[in-house]
Amino acid sequence: MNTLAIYHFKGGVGKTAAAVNLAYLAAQSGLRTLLCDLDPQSSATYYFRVKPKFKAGAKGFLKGGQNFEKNIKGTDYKNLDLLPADFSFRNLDLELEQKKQPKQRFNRILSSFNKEYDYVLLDCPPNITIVAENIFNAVDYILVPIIPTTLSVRSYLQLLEFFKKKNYRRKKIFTFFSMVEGRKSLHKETIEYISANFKRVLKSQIPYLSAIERMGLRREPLVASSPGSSAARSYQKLWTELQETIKQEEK
Amino acid sequence: MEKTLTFDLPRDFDGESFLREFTTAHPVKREPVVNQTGVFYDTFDWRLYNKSLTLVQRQKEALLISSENGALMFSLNISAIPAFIRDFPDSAIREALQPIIEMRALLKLLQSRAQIMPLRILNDDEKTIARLVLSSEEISTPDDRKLILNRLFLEPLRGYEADFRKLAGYITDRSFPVARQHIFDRARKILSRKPAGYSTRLNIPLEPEMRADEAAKMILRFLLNIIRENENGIHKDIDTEFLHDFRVAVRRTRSLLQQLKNIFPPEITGRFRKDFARLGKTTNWLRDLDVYLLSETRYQAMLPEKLRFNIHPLFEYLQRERKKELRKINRVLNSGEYSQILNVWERFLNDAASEFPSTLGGSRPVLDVARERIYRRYRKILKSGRKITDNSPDEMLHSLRIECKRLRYLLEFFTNLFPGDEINRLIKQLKKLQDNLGLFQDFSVQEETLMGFVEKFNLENPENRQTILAIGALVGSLDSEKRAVRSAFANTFANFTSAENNSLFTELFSGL
Repeated sequence: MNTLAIYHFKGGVGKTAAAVNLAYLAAQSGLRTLLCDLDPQSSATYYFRVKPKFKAGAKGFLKGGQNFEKNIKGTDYKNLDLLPADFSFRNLDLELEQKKQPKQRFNRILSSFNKEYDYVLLDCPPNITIVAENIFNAVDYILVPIIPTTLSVRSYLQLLEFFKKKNYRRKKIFTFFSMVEGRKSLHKETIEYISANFKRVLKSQIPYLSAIERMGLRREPLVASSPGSSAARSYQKLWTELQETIKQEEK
Repeated sequence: MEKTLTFDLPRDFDGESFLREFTTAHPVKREPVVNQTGVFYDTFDWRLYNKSLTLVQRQKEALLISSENGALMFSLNISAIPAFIRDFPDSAIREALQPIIEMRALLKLLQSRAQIMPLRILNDDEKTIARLVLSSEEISTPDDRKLILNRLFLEPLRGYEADFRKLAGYITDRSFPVARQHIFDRARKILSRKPAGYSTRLNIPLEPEMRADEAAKMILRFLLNIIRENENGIHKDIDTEFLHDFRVAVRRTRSLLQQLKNIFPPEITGRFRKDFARLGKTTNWLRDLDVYLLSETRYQAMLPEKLRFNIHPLFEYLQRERKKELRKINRVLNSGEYSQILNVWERFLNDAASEFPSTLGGSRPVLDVARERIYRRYRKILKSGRKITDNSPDEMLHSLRIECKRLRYLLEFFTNLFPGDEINRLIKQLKKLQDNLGLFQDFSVQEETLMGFVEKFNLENPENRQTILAIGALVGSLDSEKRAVRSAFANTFANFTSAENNSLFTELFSGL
């Protein structure tokens, strides 16, 4: 089973759009896929038309076991299930702080999906709390979308620093450029700079497209609703590149 | 997690009016109509049907479905189902089917073309909460007989079980019967062979007061049927079990004739014992070849890695021999002589007494004859078995094996004359002893035959040296297994002759 977190502590960078579309692509490729929504805003849940309710709340989520059974929902798409988030997830940090080994709890949670799923994606909340550290510990890879602007890059560097300081595996992090506006010279320069100076920067970019914004209206992954569109194709490319890069990596 | 429910729809089912009504209470989204093909498989002896399983090849995948509730158990992306399980790709479905199907061929029994109308049932968020599928299916047999089946499938979606149950209730309220039937049952009218209509299990409805000769004829007619039913499969070389079932029926026929000697006129018994003996003997070599060829994987596993591939030329040789032998057997089965034997035999078995004379022994009640023979056979086994020690020659075990086989056949022939639980118990106990003796004999024969094969490989040819070496290693391995089985004999026999078993045998058969 492979696990991938879509993460950035900065909000509005295209995390959920990526999580939703990549999860759909994973499922399409034949992998039994689970998208785990960890954001109390439950956007991924909303995109799949699932009610933002997690029976037994944050406490139940951390207990796991039957609580997952009771909450996992089949999406409208073959091979793709969703573990919804609800507003009580804002308390996950508080709940975790009270536990022993508070940064290692997600390892157990993820391993409980081992038998049923081939791929688990986590749509992460935009913060850098204990929940985030749990995620860093538990997943195989972390995919970080960055908008190619100065501030966004600054956050990215802060994240890398944090990883280094806390001794997390830098090799887990992959980056891609999200909400790219090709005409903006700032974007172009930033992309060039990052690509030249950092490792594990994927070449596939997700452009800024209104279609992606409108996903919230249509409430379905855009790769499903308009597979031929340029938005869909960019997610396709991203997925393919990510899979191949990981395969190369693991050799 | 709930399972898909399948409902049978009446022939005059009006899809549109049903949907009109349905959609007033439940919003749906129609999906494009799909044309679907299916080919349904089972073995000659209905192994899947007997386990309430349906194996179907759809356009691009093979599905294994529980016919009890329509639940999908396994699927495999494959464009055509292979005839043999060994040719399936490594998969969960193969693992599940292997112990059921074993070495039998999967036969195409029904084909279907269906129009599928899938619908998504939606909640107030327009989220799909279940799927409703209407299917109109034309089923046909290989010889072109047709039937139309209309069905409704209600498929659950994970996490929406409560909704599913409500929907199921709505549909059952419309009085559509839940389809519990296997598709072969639905298609009974058009199938030329009835599902579960073939079984080699002896379950002859004998009455204790029946004349022994009439009872015997009943059993023999059943066996003759088996013999006849398997001829085509042997001829077409569909799988190895047709010949096997054929031979077992022949063997049982011979055994009955031999063990109930006085119930038929001696000319009849004498003549047909000879005929069936010849028939059995003629097919011995082909059966042996089949068994060896089926053992290739097992033998390879027994060999040291270095020699594993070297055993292959032996199997190539056996394949060639088999081709020749099969042609020979087919000539025999197509011969006038063979038809004549069976036709006269059949006339004898169906004749109600006027054409062929009867004997005094034949008019005795079958229960008496059965008891007598079984008890006698049992006592003989005790006597012979008790003489066997760890140092006894192999021959004694082989003889005992034959005695046990005779007893087993008798128990099976007359099973319905005795209380079910008890006789099944005894058969089970006897089987354990037979398994030990049978295994011992198998190893002995294999060793001998394999050593015989060595002759076929010219030592002068350097390529053959490795093959001969491999055969030698195999013989060695088999021999040590044989010795292990031999040492287990004493215990196994002691278990068979336990006080419990003995009193059961005495109670049922001694007539005291």
